Amino acid sequence: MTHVLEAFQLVLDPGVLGTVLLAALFGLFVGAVPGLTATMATALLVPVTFLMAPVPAIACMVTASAMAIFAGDIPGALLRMPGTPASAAYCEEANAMTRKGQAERVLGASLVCSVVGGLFGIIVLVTTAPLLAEFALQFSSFEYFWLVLLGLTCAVFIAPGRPLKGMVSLLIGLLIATVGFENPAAYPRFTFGTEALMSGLQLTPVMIGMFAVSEVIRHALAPAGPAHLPARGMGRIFRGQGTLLRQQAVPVLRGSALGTAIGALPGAGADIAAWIAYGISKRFSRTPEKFGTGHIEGVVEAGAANNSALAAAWIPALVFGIPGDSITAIVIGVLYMKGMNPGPTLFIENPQNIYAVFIVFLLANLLLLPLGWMAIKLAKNVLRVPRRVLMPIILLFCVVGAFAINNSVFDVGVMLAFGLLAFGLEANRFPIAPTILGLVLGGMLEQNLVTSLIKADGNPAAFFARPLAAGLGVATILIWLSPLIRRALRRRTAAATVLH
Amino acid sequence: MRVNDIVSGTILLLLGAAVAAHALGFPAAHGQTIGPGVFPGSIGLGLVLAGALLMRSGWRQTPRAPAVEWDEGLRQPRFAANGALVIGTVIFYALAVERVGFFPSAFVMLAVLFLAFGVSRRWIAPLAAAVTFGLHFAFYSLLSVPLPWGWLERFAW
Repeated sequence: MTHVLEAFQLVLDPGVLGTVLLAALFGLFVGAVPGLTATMATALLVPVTFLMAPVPAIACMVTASAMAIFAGDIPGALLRMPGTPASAAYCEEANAMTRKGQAERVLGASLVCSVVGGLFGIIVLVTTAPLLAEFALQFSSFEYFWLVLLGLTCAVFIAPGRPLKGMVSLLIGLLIATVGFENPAAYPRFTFGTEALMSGLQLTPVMIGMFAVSEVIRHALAPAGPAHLPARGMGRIFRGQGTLLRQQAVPVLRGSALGTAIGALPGAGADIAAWIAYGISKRFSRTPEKFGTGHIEGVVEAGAANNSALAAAWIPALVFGIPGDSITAIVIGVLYMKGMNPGPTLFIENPQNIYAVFIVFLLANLLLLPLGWMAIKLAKNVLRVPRRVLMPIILLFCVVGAFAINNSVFDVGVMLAFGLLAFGLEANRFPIAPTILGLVLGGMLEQNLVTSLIKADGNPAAFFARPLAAGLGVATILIWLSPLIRRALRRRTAAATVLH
Repeated sequence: MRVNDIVSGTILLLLGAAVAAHALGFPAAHGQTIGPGVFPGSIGLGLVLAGALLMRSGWRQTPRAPAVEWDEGLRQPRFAANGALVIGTVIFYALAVERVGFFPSAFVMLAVLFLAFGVSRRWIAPLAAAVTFGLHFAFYSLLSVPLPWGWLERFAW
């Protein structure tokens, strides 16, 4: 109990509350501008949080990402341009409602369902994470090895697009993680004789480059036209939302539960949760024919799913140090920088910090109601800020941020190189998330692989000797073999049809 | 710029082979059966395999995609120049900031990009100055990042 009180003291400090408020406004702004994502908001915050104490630093990221995921719905509904990828699944639907003159109804519903979904995800996070942490204390390197590999596997196979391209992205991330001498043998690898590469590539300039600089380059090559906003002002946003919530209780809860499950899977985040929730909503709807014509059902289900996924992604991140999505991948980097190394021991050594993170989550989601209302009211002014002004400012922010980590110009070069790499990868339809996960988890994967191999002493069966390790190992291998199994099944069905 | 699967597969295959060959040269660790080359070596082999699979899918594709396709933006000189300016201004900043200082480097970087992106001319100087001062205040004064003063060392606060 004393830890909970300590946590409240940590969070209710005026400095922390002020930081949360500023981060909230920043998150709402970044989320509401199409092309600027919640992941970018988090990446840009890393240098800002550099000199902060752990709790306000994490509070900043939690708040900004929760706000940004909701705010992405605003341009989705008003302009048919999703503010963040997590709003893409239902932006057509929401915009169709705006065209029917129901902009305030759809945005109000998005806001309320985001809060409900977020709170649902938090409840699951708060209740399951400490229990899982206790369980995880018994894990050996074999379980960790398979768990990391399972997380990376999910990132490759759940991400949209071809798994082969996801695998390439993952391998690139793992390769980048091997640079430097921080490996079990402490041998400098791929440093090309440069001292700057000895300690490996800094995560922050890499993240800023991949998520922010690549976007500025994309804008420079294909600038978006001016926004065409609906002429009418916003009416009363919360009117009728209580009734709507009661009517749509099943889709909202189903979306929240699904989002939580997907978010908690390592490697799959809010955007995938929203796509799957929208699909499920249509599948189980009594009126599937109304989907696509401006129907609220899919919007509330997917809107709840993406916010619940955001909170649930913290479960594997805090308990195992395995990020649930790109945002938590960035957060894990910050946790290490702050000496709050994720893992089950964090729950024992620093429980007050963990409780503080939970309280911040709750606070951020409750703040979302008034601030989200304000963002919807001010939407037109935010959406009018031209991107030709924003993009150069973001680029300068990136450069200063990358420099700030080590006061080194070398990091600015790293940022630019990774910006170009991400731009090239995305232009060729290679997903970015597996690269980031590979980069964050590469060290952990190698460490646990080497430790396990030494323990196994040349006997591969040792990887499957403990029941949990065996379960995780079989699951991972089955996912890798799934394309082959599916192809074999298809061939058999085809052969059977020919025979008949 | 988009390349087809044969080109991207070839690049990955060569990269993977180079990584694997380089990793093979890492010395074995004392007292350990697993040397520092095992993990990167496996990644290299993984890249070789993925590259080969991509090449195979590229060969099988009908009609075959052109080896290289330029985006719309890269084909229009103005947008291509803007893309080059984004990269160029970052390099300029990285090279100039230590010697010239944050204020002039940041101001020039912003002004050049505002001009290229089509911001109204009378707004360029005041906007660039306001953002430069704002970021300096946020990072230097609030976050204590030692942004270099360069030429303006005499006025440092």
